[in-house]
Amino acid sequence: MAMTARQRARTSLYVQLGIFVAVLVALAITIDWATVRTAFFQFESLGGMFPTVITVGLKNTIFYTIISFFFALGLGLVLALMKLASFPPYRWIATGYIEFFRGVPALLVFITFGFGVPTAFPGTVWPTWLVVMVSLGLVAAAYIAETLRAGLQAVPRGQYEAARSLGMPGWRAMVTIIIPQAFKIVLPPLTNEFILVTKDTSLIFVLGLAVADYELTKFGRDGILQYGAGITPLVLAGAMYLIITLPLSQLARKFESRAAKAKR
Amino acid sequence: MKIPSRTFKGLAIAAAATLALTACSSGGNEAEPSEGGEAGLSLMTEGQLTVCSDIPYEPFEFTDENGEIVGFDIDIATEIAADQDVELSIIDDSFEGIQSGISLNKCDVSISSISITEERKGNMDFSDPYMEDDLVLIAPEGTDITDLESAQDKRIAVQAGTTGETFGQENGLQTIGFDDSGLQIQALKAGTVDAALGNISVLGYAIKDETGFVRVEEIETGEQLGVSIKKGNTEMADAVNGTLQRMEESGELGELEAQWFGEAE
Repeated sequence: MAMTARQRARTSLYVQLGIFVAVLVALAITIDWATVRTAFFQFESLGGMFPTVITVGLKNTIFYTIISFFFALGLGLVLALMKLASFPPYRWIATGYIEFFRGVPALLVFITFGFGVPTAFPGTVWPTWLVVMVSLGLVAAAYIAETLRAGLQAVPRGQYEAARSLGMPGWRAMVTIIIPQAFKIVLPPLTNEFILVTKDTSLIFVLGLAVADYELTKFGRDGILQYGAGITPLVLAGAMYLIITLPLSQLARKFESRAAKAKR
Repeated sequence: MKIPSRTFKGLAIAAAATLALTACSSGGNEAEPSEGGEAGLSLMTEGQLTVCSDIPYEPFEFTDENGEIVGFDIDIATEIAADQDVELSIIDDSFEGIQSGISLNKCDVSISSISITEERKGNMDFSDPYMEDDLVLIAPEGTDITDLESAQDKRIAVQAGTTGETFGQENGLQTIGFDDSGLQIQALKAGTVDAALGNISVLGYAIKDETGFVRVEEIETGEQLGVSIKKGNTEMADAVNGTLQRMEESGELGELEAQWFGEAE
């Protein structure tokens, strides 16, 4: 007896659910919970990490994220406009830049700036925040430029033409008509970029940090050596990142639904 | 807590004196081990001293550009074998096997930059220490850092999770933690830090062939390296200690140390 389309869909759903549950049960049985608890969830031993993990770690992570993101936003806008420029060399430069910085790991950029700049210009020692802002900003700018370019292109061409027909010069039409609308369009993806930058601040441990410059990951890594609680300190650091990123994802969703409403 | 550098100098002198005393008091027995060798030291393989070592760990034991196994430990192993008038055979073993003493079922001794610790003494005997792996403070030439005192308020590179970091923080230094010694030394060269603090075995070797850096202070840590010997094998212990004493007295050990780790100022 053949099943109806509806029965088939339901059966397939049950099979999927069954596989999912089976995998979970298999994991739950095979995992060595006692070891997992001592290695990952020994939170009672971490009293010594507070309050500095928040007053220094969380604070620095947020600070590094904000300065890098806004540096990247400014540079990304310039690159996006260059990529859309009618003068070919601008486009070449922007494309070259974007391809390069999207293609190399952020960690290598950190090492290059952290150790390369003082080597190339003896005597110039950048403070940690400046190295972070420039290295992370340069990488993030490449991604943001692509996002912004898509946003600029998504603004209906008629907007530009209307502005020009009202007598606005090209740059004025760009600044007052096109860019504001483009930003509105790219707010959700930009929020995601912000989240990516937040997570990438974890790479700055390679620079070598003074205690006052520690961010969350460095706290987590040092905690492993200090508290004898397995990698629980890293789990704590991970939770702190979620404190920053979860509200941001929420915000991104809000922007998205608002944009969807505006279109209707 | 601040410990004045004078304390460390004092400690260093005391340690040196102790070392000299032990060397003197047992100097008379020097000839014995080689006699024992002639009388037939029991070895895993006749006529051959089998040494376990975890290769590579520069500059203690590593393969050079000619494919030969060389290093500070290897030089010592060579001397021990020569004193017994036997061939040297080196087995590349895992450090887990070496530090747990399991390696001593296939090797006569293990020489692999093994720190002498109480836990390890439960599984093996140790020779007299052949190296003190003290901390060293390294600064670029011509800076105003001349000792620990003048390094206060300066940026001092340390390797995260090592004795250097602990010592620096306990003594109120502004430590900048690096993930490995490679980055730590890069930072010193690039000038993003004012000085570096770490074990002689690591930092001393790293700057040995570099110009422009000086060892400004050495700090006694009590960390010592020894040759690991099967528990209860006093015959072998005497043989190894005999060679180490001979090398210590003739100044050979000091020369080797200078050759591999560079010289103190």
